[in-house]
Amino acid sequence: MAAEDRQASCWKQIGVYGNRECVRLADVIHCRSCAVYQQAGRELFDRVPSEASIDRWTEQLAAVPADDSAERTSLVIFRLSAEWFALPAHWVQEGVEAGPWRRIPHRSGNEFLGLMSVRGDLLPYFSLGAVLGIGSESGSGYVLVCGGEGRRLAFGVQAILGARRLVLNEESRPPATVGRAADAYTLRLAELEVGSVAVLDGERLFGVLEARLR
Amino acid sequence: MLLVPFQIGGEHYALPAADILAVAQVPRMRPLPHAQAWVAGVFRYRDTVLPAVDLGLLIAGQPCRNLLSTRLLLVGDAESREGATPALGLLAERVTGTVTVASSELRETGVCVPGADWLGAVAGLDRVLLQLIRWQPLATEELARLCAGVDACA
Repeated sequence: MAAEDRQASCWKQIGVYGNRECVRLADVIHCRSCAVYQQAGRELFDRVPSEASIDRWTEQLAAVPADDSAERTSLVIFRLSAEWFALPAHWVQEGVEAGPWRRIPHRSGNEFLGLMSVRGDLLPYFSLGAVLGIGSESGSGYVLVCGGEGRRLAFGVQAILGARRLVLNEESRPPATVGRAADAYTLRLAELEVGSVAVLDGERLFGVLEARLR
Repeated sequence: MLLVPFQIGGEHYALPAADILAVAQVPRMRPLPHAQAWVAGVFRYRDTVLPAVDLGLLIAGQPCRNLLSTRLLLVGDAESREGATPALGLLAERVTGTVTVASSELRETGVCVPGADWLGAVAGLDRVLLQLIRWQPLATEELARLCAGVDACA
């Protein structure tokens, strides 16, 4: 082993976090792939644990986990304009950056915008904001590709928060005295750190979108 | 076959991952009087008390060092995985990863060491020979009885 390999935290001196002069970089490209770096990482485990952490582990091992049998639903959470929505995860296939799309003469409207190319596949492209009656979005950053067993379709969203598993129960039903289109598609309301999230009825929503195409 | 390798006295050993219900950091142990020398003690796991076998003492006569890489492997019957309670804990050094070995690469040693029926098949990896450990012979009735005694007192 060359002298520079044994140097403490060489990745900060001559590696990718330093001046990148290390001769090994030609082979390994990144310090992550270098045996010296990996060995140093493993040696972090060769430390004596503190008394406080042993106490904590003893406590953790003895703790009886709370019996959490509530049924959870996987949801993909995304933002349209200023509001957060969620779709059951089995309806969502992927979230990708928006690709090029174009209008279809005599067919494109407010709700059905046109066709979008998602990695070479042409998918019907909708404005979910228009369908839900919360105004059409300006400049969507991302596209959610959705669909059940049938046809795939895409709609633009401003942001994707990610997938969460939430408990949806009777108490989270939205109030019945609301009139916006968005609320007609809302199955439940869920509280998250970003605020209130409307969980959409995938079946109903995609039935309607599918009808727009006929 | 997914294995969880570890080291005892510089030699490489492994347990089948299917036997391991959980890997935990080593908690504080309460010594178990009158138990075999290689019993590290008992510890509380959820609402039971489980014995812990120090594989370092058992195999090499040296207790496992008190390091972050020394872990407690909670082993038990994989059949009853649903809400299963582990049968015992095993202390082993350098538990930091997993390795996949084809079942066809496992060779029985053909040597039966009396009193060490917990030694299993051997697999040759790139640079090292890995020997499987069977936990079942370690979970003796005597150990369970001693452990139950502690549970009743606690």
